[in-house]
Amino acid sequence: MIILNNSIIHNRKKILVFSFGAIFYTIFLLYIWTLMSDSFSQLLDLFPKQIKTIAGFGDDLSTAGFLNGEFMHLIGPLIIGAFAITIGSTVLCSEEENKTIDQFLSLSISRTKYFTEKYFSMVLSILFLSLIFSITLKICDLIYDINLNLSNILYSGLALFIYGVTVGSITYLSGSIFAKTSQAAGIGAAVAIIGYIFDSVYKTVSSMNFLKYISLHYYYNDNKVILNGFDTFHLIILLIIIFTSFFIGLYIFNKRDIKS
Amino acid sequence: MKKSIRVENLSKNYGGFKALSNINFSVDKGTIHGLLGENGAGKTTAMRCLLGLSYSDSGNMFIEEIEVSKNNFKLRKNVSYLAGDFRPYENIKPIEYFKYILKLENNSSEKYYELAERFKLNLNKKIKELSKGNKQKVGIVQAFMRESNLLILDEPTSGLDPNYQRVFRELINEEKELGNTILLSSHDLLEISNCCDFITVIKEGKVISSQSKRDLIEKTIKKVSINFLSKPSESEINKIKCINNFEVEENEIKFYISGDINEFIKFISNFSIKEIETESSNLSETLLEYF
Repeated sequence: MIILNNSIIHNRKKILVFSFGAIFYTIFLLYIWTLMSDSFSQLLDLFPKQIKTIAGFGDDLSTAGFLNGEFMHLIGPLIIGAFAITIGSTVLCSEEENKTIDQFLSLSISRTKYFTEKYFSMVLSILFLSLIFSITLKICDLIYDINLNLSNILYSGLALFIYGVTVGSITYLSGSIFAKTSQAAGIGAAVAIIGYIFDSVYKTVSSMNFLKYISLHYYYNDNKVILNGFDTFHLIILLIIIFTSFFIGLYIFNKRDIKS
Repeated sequence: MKKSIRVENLSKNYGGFKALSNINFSVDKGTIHGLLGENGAGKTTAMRCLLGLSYSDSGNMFIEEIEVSKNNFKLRKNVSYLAGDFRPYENIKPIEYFKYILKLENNSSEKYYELAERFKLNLNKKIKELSKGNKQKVGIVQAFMRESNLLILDEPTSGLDPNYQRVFRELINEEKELGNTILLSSHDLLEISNCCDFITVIKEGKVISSQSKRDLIEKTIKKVSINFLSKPSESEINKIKCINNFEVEENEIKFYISGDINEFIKFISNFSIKEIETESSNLSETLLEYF
């Protein structure tokens, strides 16, 4: 666990910056909600149906319904995705780019151990940020009295965690293949952004319905997780992506030369 | 003699570039073995293959007679490495870096204190604030602190001033006295000729010479200028095997000799000599011929 601990310590500044961002945004968003909750339905009526659909707003006018659109659909995955890409692209790649990895892999440490501990340092970092989101939601619930039940909070945290780990795993896999931070981050970001775009397109253009099957965003929040919990099939798909990315990455990392 | 390292027909390509082409060499236990070659000759690639950082395309490698295979990480328990382009974590202090490396292998050695003292390395200054030479000292200390039986050192004295190069030479000789083996690479002829018992020269991915320092010294060309009162004829000189070349200038002949010098001494004793002057080229000059 030494490599894992060291990686988390090494990334502490990034974890802190994103945590402050998450706390600030969540408090700000729910403060705004307390100001506009009574007129939320009138406000929504000002927008065309397609825009509301793309933004993730449904018929539920509760706090959880608002959070599903404003928080879970866009900003939540944006923050957790950006964090996962940042950590996933650097945790392994930057060691190889900076050549600090040579000294460690020339010790009696297996590549599998190195790869796995680095990976789980990313997973734990994402878990930490997801918990920060959940805890902040709970604190806001207490402060603003906005009727968020515990299951809403747990579902939101878990969904963001699973989404973050999925994006992070794809980024980490890219890093283990290309050993280049910029390339890994680019691929991770592309998967996340394209997923969001495809999710928006299939909702508004019926002939493009097939796009949803190649959108991470669809599997992440099509079931409006904060309101309804996870769709088992969607959760399995995300878990398959996570495990496949991990094992392919591990296989490649074990088979290739370390960049010199 | 037992072999610490054995490399057989090792080849490695990077894309279309042949970094190593069927190289063979072995390193005797308890010796200092130098890998000599120009930049890009393949020294680092050979070392990285031995350590499992790069994988060979063909050939076999053995450390302590155990084959180096993919992911055979336990083999490295007694192997220390100093990378040619050594890069430690910059944001921590040398002492933290050493402790971290040792902790990774549950090694409780505290030898880094003694080594840091010898190299006058400040253990409590952040690595990023250290000079290039001091960063190299961090690399040397981390390689020697693990008390390994085999040290693989890639251009270890790069960036060190002559004083600490001397400390380094003392250190590797102490390791040799303890029965440990050192494989070091360099393109510095002086360093190799001063430190090593055996020298393998790699050029363009091929081993062009692998022999002991003693053999190399025997091959070192000596220059002897003799002013004769009665000089030998050119045909007589050509019969002497150890004379590689000679230049005649009136009564003075300059001989270039290598190998057994006795034959030469016997030969010149047959002639009257007015004056004799000898000059030995050093090992570095001999090694230079391989480049």
